[in-house]
Amino acid sequence: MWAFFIRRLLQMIPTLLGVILLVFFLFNWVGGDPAYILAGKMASPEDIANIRHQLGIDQPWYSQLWIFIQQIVSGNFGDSWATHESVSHIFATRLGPSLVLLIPMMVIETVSAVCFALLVSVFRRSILDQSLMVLSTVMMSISLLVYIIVGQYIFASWLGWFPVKGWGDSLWRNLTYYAPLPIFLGLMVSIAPSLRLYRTFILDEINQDYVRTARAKGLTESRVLFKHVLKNAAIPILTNLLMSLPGLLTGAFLLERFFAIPGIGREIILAVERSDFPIIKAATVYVAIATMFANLAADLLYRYLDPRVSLK
Amino acid sequence: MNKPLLSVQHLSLFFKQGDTSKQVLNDISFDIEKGQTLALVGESGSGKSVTALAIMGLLPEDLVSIDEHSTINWHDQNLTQLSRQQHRQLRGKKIGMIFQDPMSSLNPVMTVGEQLMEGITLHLSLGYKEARLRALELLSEVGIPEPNRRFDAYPHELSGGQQQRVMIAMAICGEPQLLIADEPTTALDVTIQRQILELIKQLTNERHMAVLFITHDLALVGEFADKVVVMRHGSIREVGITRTIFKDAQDPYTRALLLCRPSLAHRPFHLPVVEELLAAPHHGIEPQRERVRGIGAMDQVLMSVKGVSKRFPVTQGLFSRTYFDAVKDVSCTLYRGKTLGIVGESGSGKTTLGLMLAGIIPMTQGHIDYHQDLHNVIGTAQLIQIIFQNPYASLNPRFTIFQIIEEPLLLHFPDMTRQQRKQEVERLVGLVGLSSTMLSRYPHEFSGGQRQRIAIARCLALKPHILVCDESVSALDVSVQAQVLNLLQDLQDQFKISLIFISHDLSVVRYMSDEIMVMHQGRVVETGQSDHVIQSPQMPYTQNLISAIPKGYLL
Amino acid sequence: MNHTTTSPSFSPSLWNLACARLVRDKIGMLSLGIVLFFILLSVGSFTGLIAQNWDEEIAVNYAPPSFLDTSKEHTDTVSRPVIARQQINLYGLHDPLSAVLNQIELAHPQDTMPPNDEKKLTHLLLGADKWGRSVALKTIKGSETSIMVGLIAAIVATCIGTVLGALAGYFGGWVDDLLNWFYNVFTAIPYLLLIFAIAAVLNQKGVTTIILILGLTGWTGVFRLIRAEYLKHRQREYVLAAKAMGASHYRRMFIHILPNTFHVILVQLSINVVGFIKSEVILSFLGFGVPVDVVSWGSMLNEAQNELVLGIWWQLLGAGAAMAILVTAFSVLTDTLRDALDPKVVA
Repeated sequence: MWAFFIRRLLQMIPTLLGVILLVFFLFNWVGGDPAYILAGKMASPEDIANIRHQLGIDQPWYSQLWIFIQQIVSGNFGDSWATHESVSHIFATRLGPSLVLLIPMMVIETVSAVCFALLVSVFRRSILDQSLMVLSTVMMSISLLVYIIVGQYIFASWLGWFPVKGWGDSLWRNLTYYAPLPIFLGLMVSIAPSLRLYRTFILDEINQDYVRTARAKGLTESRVLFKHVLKNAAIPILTNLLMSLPGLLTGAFLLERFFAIPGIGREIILAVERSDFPIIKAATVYVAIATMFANLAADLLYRYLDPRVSLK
Repeated sequence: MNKPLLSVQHLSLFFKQGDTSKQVLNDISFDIEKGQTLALVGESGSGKSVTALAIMGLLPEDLVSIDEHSTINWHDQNLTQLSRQQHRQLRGKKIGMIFQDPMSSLNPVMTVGEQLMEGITLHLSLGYKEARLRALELLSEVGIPEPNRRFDAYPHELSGGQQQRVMIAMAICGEPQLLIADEPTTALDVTIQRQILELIKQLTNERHMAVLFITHDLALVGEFADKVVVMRHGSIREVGITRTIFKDAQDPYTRALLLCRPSLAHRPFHLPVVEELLAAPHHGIEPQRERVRGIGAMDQVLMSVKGVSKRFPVTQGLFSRTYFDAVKDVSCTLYRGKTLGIVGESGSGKTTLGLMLAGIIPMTQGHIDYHQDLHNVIGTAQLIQIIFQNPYASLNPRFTIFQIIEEPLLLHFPDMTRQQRKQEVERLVGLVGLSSTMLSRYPHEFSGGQRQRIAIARCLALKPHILVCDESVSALDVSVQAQVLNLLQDLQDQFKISLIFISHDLSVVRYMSDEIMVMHQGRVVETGQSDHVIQSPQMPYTQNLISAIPKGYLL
Repeated sequence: MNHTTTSPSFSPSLWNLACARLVRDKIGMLSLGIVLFFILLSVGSFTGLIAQNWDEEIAVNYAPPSFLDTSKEHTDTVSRPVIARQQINLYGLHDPLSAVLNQIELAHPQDTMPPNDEKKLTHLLLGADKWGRSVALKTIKGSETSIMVGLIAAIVATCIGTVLGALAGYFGGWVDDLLNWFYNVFTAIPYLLLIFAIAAVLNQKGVTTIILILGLTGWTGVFRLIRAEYLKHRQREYVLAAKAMGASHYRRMFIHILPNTFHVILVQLSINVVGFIKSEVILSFLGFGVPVDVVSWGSMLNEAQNELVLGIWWQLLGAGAAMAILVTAFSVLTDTLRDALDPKVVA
């Protein structure tokens, strides 16, 4: 168990180095000289040189890489170029709204996707199964943009059931007043793919030999489904869910932007619009680290749930 | 005589395929008396498993339709008319069933105890404690050592034989009157097969339970079935008590099933094939002269293998590695124009050895010496070729038969013109008994036996000196197996090819080989002249292996 | 499988059989028809055969669709634009392009605000946009952009993924380790975030740029599946037999194994096209995608977002419906392909 854990941790080091190199390469080579972005259009050569010195980009590349690694380790990415707010403070304050939006969304999505998947697996090849599959394909195919534009107009502007946009300070008010419409619109596109994925997981298990054995024992269909099939299908469903957790950290780009929710997703889009490199760099590296840990956790969970895979 | 326990009458069954439907069972009728063991024997596609699943009510209702005149009578009930609910109440309680592959038939994420208790609590309505006691009793009854420890084990922690024992315990926990065993030993080694058969026999005697035993291997049931039903292509060919079937079979197909399989007692020059027997149903086939096998003093050594080993690294702990020896220090000799048979159970390393000899995987240790005549072909594909077990995987599905057989010619004889290659391919196809009109077809149109012939033709294109046959007939039905074995014999007679014949089936190896090498856990147990090894085995392992072979009907 | 084709002259290959299954699937054929129709549209638009004059201001501003032909609405719509533009600005929705548009409009007022006395159509098939351009033609022009981007980027990504996956799966060892490392690095960063990051540093808009961004980041899914296919197939007996008869690595990789993975490649290509069209629309909507002078469904949706509050919904309908129809058809086609090409069905 520990040996496996430590070996997996060690395997993460080259991946992390790769991510750091990729981000470094992108922003320090491809990105051009940030001094020109920072200094504005009317910069004198002295200003440029000054900024270059402040940013450390007049130094050789390996010193810059070293600075970058120090930033990652210390968690101090400096200040935003646009607002001069410290990057760590931006992330600390923007995480909350993103989570308020995404955690309920993820819970509702998973629960309803699993329920629907079980339903269509029981009635597979029936009209219900086929029509739900067609419906989910159509729902998936309409762009989230269209859902948001139309949904915001109909439910907020026209019917006035929900606020058009905005965010408050009280968790309860955010959850009950501001968040429901974006959550609902987000679910319109996110349930269908999960439903289809979970359906294949469940159908894969239903076709296994042990299901025939369980039926031969005389078990009821519901016991076969909930005890035997679901226990096996839960393994890929849970690992899949765990691996999608880092998505919480990037927020929901479009929803947050349209509904003016001050979350990380909106912050990242603003940063891209303003070429605010420190924020993008920090987001990329930290989300990558979170993703790697989520994958590790999924691996451990998988090994814990599936007795066939031993923890060597 | 009493009413039979189960009576299948005029069972006809169809698989729905879109708008059309395909008949799978045609007018099947047989009875099983109380406490009787009935064997349902047939090759693949005979409909024997479908019959069993129809009795159990385990066929998907939306894909299958049963003819309305069909009846399956169980006491006073007609099983074809039962609701799903009524049928379910019969399963496990009145009729238990075990399947071919015990590993996949057990739920991998539930412990043995949980799965066993499920049936016990359902059928015997016992509380947890009593049910647990009953489960432990059952586990020891089916011969699981240390039932207390195995109770909490997961299926993958047990051996194949133990898994099948657990399946049997689950099937009999509701005290059923009928046990359906669908190829229960096909996935197991021959020694384990014998133990499982003994167990089933013992349980039926103790519990007065009837058994419907389904198998492709007629010889297997001779020792313990009371009655035999032979099926082919969804119809019954012959029904009779076991003694009659073995001593005086009326149907030529039944006779073919008995005769096509090589036995340890005889080695006819050619094995009889089904088509011949079906063509001449009344007068049996004339007895053949025996083929003499063995290595003589005049035989030339073609290849001598010295101390060959293969070890695979296994990661363990943080950084440490251990090694697994798949093949350990194997030495053997192959004579010109003769056959070396390698026999062993699963995990004996025989396939790994074959792959190493064929040069497909490298050896970790050891070396091979060749006769000086072969020195100019060492390291090339003309030295040695290999035929694999699975005829479905050994041909590229995207190539036509012509492309498949042409490929070695393209690779090794670049000077040949297209016309010459075409002629050569046609000659090769003729050699293995296929028509050259089939050349433009793709592998998926061919049966297993035909595919194996194509694979042989592909090897022959290079005129190899040595041919490795790795379980090459194991996946084939007995009747087809005989044809492929005859073909290999003919080719050896004609071209003096040396064969390395690898199989788990001792009878087949004995039929094909001049010399036999017995392997166990990567090592050689015994090597010797083939008749000598079979008639007077020296090592206990070999003796055990030979005694486990089904002997057919014994008086 | 039925053996109706027993005549020795013709034997269906696996491709023939797959095509036969595809043709039998009516919904699959319908979706294939829709996809081909869209591809034809975009090719026609690319070569200038149709929608060449999409940017001519042929109608009055915000002319409604012709099926709404009532004279009352007619006068409404003609008088609306002036107010409309102020409302957009007042409304303050975040429109990254609005600043640019305002600049253009201020610099060339006669281009964007033609005098009303000119002879202009009051109604159009699918209505007109802010400048009186036909929404129908814009939608066609938009399909050209979205389909070109989706298709070319998907081909690029699928080729990269296939070649790398084949190398990793076939050779194993250090080649596999290296390419897997590459894969792990790219998948550690969430897909959209990676695209945003690249868009931010490149900071230059253009169809080629977005094709490159999508193509160079989207190969990971194909890589994973093709690698798995190669791992599986290199152990298959037909490949071992090819090895035994002396076939080269190249021959085993590309002549033997590759055709047996085509079904995976084709399905992945189709999935990628759908994904990339969606990504392109989002990027263009946010203003990180195609430049201002190129029409895309994303930029149309961006304009439509502000028009909707004014009750002008036809641009939303045009872009939204075109995209939904194409993507649905493509997804159904993907499912059909997956079923029809499944080698297990034959074996």
